[in-house]
Amino acid sequence: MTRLPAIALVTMTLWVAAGTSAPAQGPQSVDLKALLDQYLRGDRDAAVASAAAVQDLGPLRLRFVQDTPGWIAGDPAQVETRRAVVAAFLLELTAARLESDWGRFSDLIEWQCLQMRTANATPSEFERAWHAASHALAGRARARQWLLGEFAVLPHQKPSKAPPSDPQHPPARHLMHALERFPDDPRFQLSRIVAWTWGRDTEPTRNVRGRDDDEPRAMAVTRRRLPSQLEAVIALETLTNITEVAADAYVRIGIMQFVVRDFGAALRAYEQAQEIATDLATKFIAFLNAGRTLEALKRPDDAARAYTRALEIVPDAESATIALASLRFAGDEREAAVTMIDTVFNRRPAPADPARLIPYGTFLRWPSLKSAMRAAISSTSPVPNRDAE
Amino acid sequence: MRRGRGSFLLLITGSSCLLAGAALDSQAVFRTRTESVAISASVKRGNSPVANLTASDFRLTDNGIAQAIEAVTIESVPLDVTLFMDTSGSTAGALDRMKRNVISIAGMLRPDDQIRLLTIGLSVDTNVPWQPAGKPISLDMKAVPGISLVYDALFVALTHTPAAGRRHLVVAMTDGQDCGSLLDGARVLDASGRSEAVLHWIYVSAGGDFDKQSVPAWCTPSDAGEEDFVEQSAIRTGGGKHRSRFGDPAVRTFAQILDEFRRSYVLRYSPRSVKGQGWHTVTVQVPAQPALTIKARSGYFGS
Repeated sequence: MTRLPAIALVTMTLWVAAGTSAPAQGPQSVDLKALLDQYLRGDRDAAVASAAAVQDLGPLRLRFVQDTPGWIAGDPAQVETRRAVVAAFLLELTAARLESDWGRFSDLIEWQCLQMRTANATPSEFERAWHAASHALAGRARARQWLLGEFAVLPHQKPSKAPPSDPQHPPARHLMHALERFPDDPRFQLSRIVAWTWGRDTEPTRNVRGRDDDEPRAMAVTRRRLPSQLEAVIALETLTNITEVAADAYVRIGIMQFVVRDFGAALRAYEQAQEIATDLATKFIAFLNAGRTLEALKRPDDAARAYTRALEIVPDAESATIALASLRFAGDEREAAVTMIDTVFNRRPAPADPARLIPYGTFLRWPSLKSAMRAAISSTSPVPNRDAE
Repeated sequence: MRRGRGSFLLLITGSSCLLAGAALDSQAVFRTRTESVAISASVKRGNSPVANLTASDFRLTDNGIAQAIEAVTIESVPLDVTLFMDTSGSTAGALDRMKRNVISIAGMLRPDDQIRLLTIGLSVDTNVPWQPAGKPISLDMKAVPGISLVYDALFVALTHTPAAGRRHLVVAMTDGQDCGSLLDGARVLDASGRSEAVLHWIYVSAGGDFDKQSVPAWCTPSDAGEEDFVEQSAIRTGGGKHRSRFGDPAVRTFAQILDEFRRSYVLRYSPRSVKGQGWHTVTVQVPAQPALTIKARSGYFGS
C-alpha cells in the first residue's frame, strides 16, 4: 500500500468514526498539540493522563491524523525527535485505554508505523524500541491477524496464496512490517511465532486432573490440532540457540507441548528454561508451569516443590499461591493452605503476577519496553525525562 | 479452637449448644470437647424457613449409616461474608450497579459481622479486605475484559476458616463463565467439599453486551456445556444457584440468602460405623414432614 492511499483511508475511517459517535467533548477540547509539547518537554505521564481522560476518543483520533504531521514539521531541527514523540505518545495513550479501546487505536498505530517506514529508509533504534512496545500492547489484545495477517504461516512454512477475504480492508500485518525493518531481531522473530500460536494455546496452564480419563471428546479435539502445535515447536526450537530469547522460547515450547498433552516434553522444556532464564518473570513462569505439568504427571509432591520454588522467585505471586494452596487444601495440609491464602489475599492491591500475563505475548514486559522506548526518544535529542527522575 | 486433622468440618465443638429456637451465646457454641461433624441445613416450607425443629425431628446418614444427632442449633453467630463480584468483560456493563450492590449488601450485615469483597481482573483481587460490616467501604472496582478468573476466585473464597464462634457465607455474583483460571471446575468442586463455607451462586449476566473495540476473551471456557461446576460446588456446600440481575433484584436475592443462612440449622454428630478417610455423603431428612425443602451440605472429606 502506498503512503497517500493509506493515509486517506485512515483519515476517512476516522472521519466516519468521529461523526457516528456522540461526542461528550468537542474537537476543540482536545488540544493535542499542547499535549505533545508537554510530552516533548518531558512531562510525559501527565500528558498521557490528560489525553487518556478524554471521554470520547473520536475527536482525538481525528486530531491525531490531522495535526501531528504539522506538529512534527513545526521544528525542522527536531523532526526525528518529534516524530518519535508522536509515536511514543500514541502507544502510551493506547496502553492507558488498552482494555476498553484497543480497537480504537490499532489503526492509528499502523498508520504511525507507515509514517516511520516511509520517512526513514534506515530504521532507527527508536523505531525498534517502538515496535517492541507496540507488539506488547497487541499481545494484550491477542491481535493475531493485525500482527501477522489473515493467513499467517511460520517461518519454515510456505506462504499462503489464499486471497484476502476482504481485499478492501486487509489486516495490518504490523509485526511483519517490523520484521521487514529488523529481520534479524530475535525478539521479533519470537513474537511472530508466539502470535501464531494464539488460538492454538487454549487454557495452557490449567490443572488437567480428571480430564484425561473423563473427557475423550476434548482429547479428540486436541489430537486433531496436534500437528499445528508441533509446527510451532519446530519454529521455536530454532530460537533456543539465541541467548537473548532462548529461555522464553523454551517456555513457549513447554506451553505447546502441554497443550498436546506431551507432559514429559513440556517438563523438559520448562526445566531448560529454569536453567538459563536470567529475568525473574521467565524463571518464575518456568517453575510455575513445571508445577502444572508435574500435577498433570500425577507427581503432586514434585509439583508442590516447583510452586514453592516459584514463590521464592516472586514472593506472594497469587497464581503460584493458588496453585500450591489448592494442592495442600486437597491434601493433609489444610491449615497451611488457609494461611497462605489469607496472607496473600487479604491485602490490596494484588502484587503483579507474571503468570497471569503469559498468554499475552510480551505484554508482561510492557513497563520495561515503555521505558526503553522513552529512553530511545531521549537518545535522539537532549529531552528531559522528568518521569524518570 | 483446634481443627480436626485436616478434615473440613471435623470441628472440635462444645456440648453447650442450645436447642433450636432458644437464645444462644455464640461464645458457648464452640467450646472444645470432642471431634464432631457439623452440617449446615436450611429447612423451608415453601419460601418460609421452618423453626423449632429438634434433633429428634431429623434423620441424618453418613455414607448411608444413620447417625445420632447430638445437637441442633440455629446459630445466630457472627458471620464472615465473602462477596465475589465478577468484574470480567462478560458482566462489565453492570459495574455501577455492582458497586451499589456492594454498599447495599454491606448495610444488611450486623455490626459484629465482617465482610470482604473479591473481584477479578488480570488477577484475583481482594478489593475490600476483611473488615467490620459497619465500616465504610472504599471501592475501586473496574471491569477487565478478556479474562475471567471465576474458578480461581471461588477457590480463594472457599479457602477461609472463620474464627471460633463464626460462620462463613460466600455469595458469588457471576455468570459462571471462566476464562484463564489456573484451576479447573473439578478442583473448585473438590475444594467446596473441604470448605467450611456455604456457597451461594447468584447467576447474573450483562447479556453478553461486549464492546467490540475492547480486548477480546482469549480462551473458550473449556467447561462450557459439560458440567456446571459452580452450581455443583454451591449445592455441595449446602448453598444453591439463584438467578437474578444486578441492581435491586440482586440485593433482594442476597437478602433471602442471608435470612435463610441465619435461620439455618447446624446438626452435629460424631461419626460412628463409617470409615474416616475419603468422601462422606451426608443426607438430611425430616421424616415426619416429607413436604419440607431441606438444603444441606451434601458431604465432607474425612481424614
